[in-house]
Amino acid sequence: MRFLLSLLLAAALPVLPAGAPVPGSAVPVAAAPDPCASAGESDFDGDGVDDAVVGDPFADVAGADGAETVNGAGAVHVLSGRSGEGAVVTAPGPAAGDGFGWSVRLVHIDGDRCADLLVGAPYADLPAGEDAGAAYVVYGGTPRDPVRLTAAEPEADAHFGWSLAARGPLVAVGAPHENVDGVADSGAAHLFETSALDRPWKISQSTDGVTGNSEVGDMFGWAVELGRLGGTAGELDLAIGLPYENDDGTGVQAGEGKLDSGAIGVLFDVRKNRGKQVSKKWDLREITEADAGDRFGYALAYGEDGDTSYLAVGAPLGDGESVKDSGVVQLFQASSTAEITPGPTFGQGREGVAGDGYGFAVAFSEGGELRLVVGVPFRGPDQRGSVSLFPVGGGSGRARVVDGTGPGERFGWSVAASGNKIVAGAPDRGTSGGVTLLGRNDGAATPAAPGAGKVPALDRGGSADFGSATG
Amino acid sequence: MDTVSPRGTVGEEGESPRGENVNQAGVGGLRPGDPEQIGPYRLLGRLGEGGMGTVYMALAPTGRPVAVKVVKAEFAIEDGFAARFHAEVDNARRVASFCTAQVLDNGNAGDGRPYMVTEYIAGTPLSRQIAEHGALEPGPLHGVALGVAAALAAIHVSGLVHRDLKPANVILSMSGPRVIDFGIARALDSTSGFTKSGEVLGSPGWWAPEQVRGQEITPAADVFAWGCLVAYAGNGRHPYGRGDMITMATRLLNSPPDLGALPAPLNDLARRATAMDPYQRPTAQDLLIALVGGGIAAPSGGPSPQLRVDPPTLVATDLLGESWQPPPNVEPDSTQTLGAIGTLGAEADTPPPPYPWTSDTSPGESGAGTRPGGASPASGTLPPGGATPAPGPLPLPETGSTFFPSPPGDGAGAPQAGAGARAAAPGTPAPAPGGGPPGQGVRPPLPGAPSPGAAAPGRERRRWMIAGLAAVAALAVTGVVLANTGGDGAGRATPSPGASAPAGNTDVGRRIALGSPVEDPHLIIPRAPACGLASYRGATPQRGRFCVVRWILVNTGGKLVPLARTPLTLVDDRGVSHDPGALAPELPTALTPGGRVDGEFVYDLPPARTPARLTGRVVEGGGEIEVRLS
Repeated sequence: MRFLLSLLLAAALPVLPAGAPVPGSAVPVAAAPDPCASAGESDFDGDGVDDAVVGDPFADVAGADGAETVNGAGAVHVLSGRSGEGAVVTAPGPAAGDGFGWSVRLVHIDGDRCADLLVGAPYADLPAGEDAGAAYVVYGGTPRDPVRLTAAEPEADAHFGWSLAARGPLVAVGAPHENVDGVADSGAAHLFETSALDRPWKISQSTDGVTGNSEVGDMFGWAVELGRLGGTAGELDLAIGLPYENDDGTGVQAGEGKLDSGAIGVLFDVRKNRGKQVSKKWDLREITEADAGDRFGYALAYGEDGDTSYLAVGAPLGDGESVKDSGVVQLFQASSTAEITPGPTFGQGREGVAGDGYGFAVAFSEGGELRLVVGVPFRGPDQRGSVSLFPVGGGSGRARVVDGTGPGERFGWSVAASGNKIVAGAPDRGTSGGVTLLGRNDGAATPAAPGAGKVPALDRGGSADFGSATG
Repeated sequence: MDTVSPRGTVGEEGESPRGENVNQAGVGGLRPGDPEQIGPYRLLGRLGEGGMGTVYMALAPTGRPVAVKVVKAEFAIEDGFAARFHAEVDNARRVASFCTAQVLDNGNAGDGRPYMVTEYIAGTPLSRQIAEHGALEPGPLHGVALGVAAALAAIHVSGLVHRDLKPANVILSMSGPRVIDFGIARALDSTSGFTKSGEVLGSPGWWAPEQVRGQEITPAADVFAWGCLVAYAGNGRHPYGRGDMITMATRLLNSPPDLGALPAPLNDLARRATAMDPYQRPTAQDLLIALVGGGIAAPSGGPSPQLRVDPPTLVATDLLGESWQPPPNVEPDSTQTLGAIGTLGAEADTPPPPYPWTSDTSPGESGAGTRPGGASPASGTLPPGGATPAPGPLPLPETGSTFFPSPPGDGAGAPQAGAGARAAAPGTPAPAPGGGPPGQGVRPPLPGAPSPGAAAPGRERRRWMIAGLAAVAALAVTGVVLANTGGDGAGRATPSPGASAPAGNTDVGRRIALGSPVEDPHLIIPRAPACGLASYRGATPQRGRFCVVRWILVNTGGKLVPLARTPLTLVDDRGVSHDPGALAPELPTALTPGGRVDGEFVYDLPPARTPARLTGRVVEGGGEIEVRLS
């Protein structure tokens, strides 16, 4: 049974299935010369249609030997855009409580046209310490062994892999609970060149040239994004969310100022300026009305529309339209000729309710006119949640709000774009959790969940939080 | 709480040479004129005398040794003083007893003088320790810094300011440093008769600049004193030297303190704590977090190398023991306590109730289980003494069993099998029909009982990430969470669907927000309970079949969140409640930001019963939750 399933998986999707530590056991079945020849942007399996990935960090999965279930190791489901079928990816050698799938992104790491899967497992134990955390690159297209990323000097409870981003030659991984210079939970981000995934370097507020100071509980690296945000053309800029940064002026403080108001930092030409960074930092207060506890920087998303690039920053407890703690999203924009500047602030207007969580998750859907996707997972009296989809930057398309389908499902906990679809997570829909694939242009809304339709249930395991991360 | 006249001088030990109302082991005899009894408390001896009154060692009707402080008559006659005093003490009673001497009771003596009753803490005052044995070694020093910061955090979170933190008010006990004498300074401060006399509240050398300037006193004043106290303990000398009050005040206002050489991170923390501007100082909670996080992470300077070398094998109780190294001369509490009680005579046949830390409990647990209301009626009278400790309203610290207590609810024994250590430990309180909920039962100490932490089987995954040092922190933040969640009705107006939404059948697989879904931890029961088990991990059910409920706790917020010491109760399909047996590892004391714990509860259900829901509290001081299981 186990071998049969492995074969099926291998056939359906050239991913190294769980429990195949030996490369030989995942022999591709009559693969085309280049399975990625016609791959789309987020196309993991190379069939020409963008795919979506969904993380379930609390899933129980079959162990490496296939004999025993490993509790809470976590799993990631790849939903094929063409067939709608799902395949399961687990960590090589899953371990209990790793949280594999806490964060997921479909990105490009190797040179082929197929998208690759970047997965965070922030509760992975390393020899250096429990819950030091790890991230995995699972290659799309031609099967290759997955690569595990870790910090150069892993630290217990750093939760490396909490957040992820990759673009061009860079991979960024957040470790928001790393104790930089012994300062508890001040946080760090680790950068990798795609050509040297074993040689990360670390960036924190203690790095030369990074605005701000490593203070207790800042959680630098809670969210990370890479893009063109006003630095030199051809170089990538790194955006960092610090939702627990206190708005406390300059110098090192602790527990002062507006607590947990949050901030973002943008590090320009982050690769070139490795020795001494050039950076800029924003508190929400500098842009709009802001208060303690806004959590500005909780979620980040990057998108491009022609020459203009955008950074969306969620502040899920921000005070939109004077409705306190209902959540806002602040937009920033830059271009090849213009510096990054704050743009409009989005919220739910007067309809917002404290605790809605507008901006808990954000994503951009590119292609045609750029659209911003905002998750509002606690919206509604029963927290069914909603997802808001609207054009930014001169677009004239209609805004669309899709509500969750059931009480308490927290639809919008995670959002991501996949080609002309939006994949929005509802991790509390039923026991396993679920996602809904939203058409970007039409009104389609297709739910998916493990064990329903073409998405297989976990073999010798169980889903618990499917949809808490999407990519 | 001491007051010092302008002529008072500062001794090397940083306290006025004359009597202090110190709660310590040195018990003096009663003097002529001392009453035999105050309220229901039978006086045994004098612990000290200070500007505001006298402190007696006394025996509660239950047999528990306590410290009773009686205010001088000159204050007592002040109009409104008694009311202010009692109001302040009522506030102090809310302070978690962790790293503090818990305030147990207050009332008016027969002659009308107000009094307050606190735990009796056996040990050596820090002042005497330094005076007699010199500066502390880095290990105990870190412990003192941490314990006092924890105490301050607990005090501050209750809305109080100690106002007189100094080495004489820190008792080094076997279980850790304890801060005494907080809670009634403000009553004195606002006593016109008191200020009229020209006396300044507090002790010279332990004032903050703003106290000398007569400015508003905030918790930052205590933090300043903390910095001075740590420097004093680390160097054996006062950071402002010696001198009379005027000299000290002048130095205080004009020069930075001489903090000497302190190990990291204490050097930096003490420097920041003694900033002239109160707004520049960290809060006690910041100190706590810095000491916990920094202590574990810092490559050097941590007091206990074991922390870094082998964190996975440590559990809270172990670590606590390691983080606190009492100076060699500090004797076990039990010895001193028993010795002090030895003078009892008639009551000597009643064994004194044990202190919670003498056997298988940790301070964190005793603190976590505090019951400001349960200790004694507000009237100030304690329940009549019972020779036999019984579960219920005894003013004893809770047992806070290291393992989940056995279910007393049905009167049947809990499954004790499977753990040798646990089988030996008294899992059940003295049989008492209708006993209180677990965690409130009185557990006699078993001096010989194996360390619970050392032999906890069935630990599915050790995630005691914060373990001991943070256990110290846990209780201190209890009040924070109380303030942030318990007291914040508005913020909790919308119940999380996992907790009480009517729709859906089960909460299995859902994130149950323990407060705000953004700010507070989530509880996940990832799978439906596994029931009908005839055995589990070598144990056999005593009543029916085991039902195992796995859980995951993850803190995605930014706060250190203390966890309740009482596990969730399972309600079966007939509405009968069951407490988990001893098979499960205990919850950690607190969850750090980002922290995650995986575990399981094991319930022994009678035949044919099925689990319906879990109820109880997960977050200490948080709201009740309900998790539907079917």
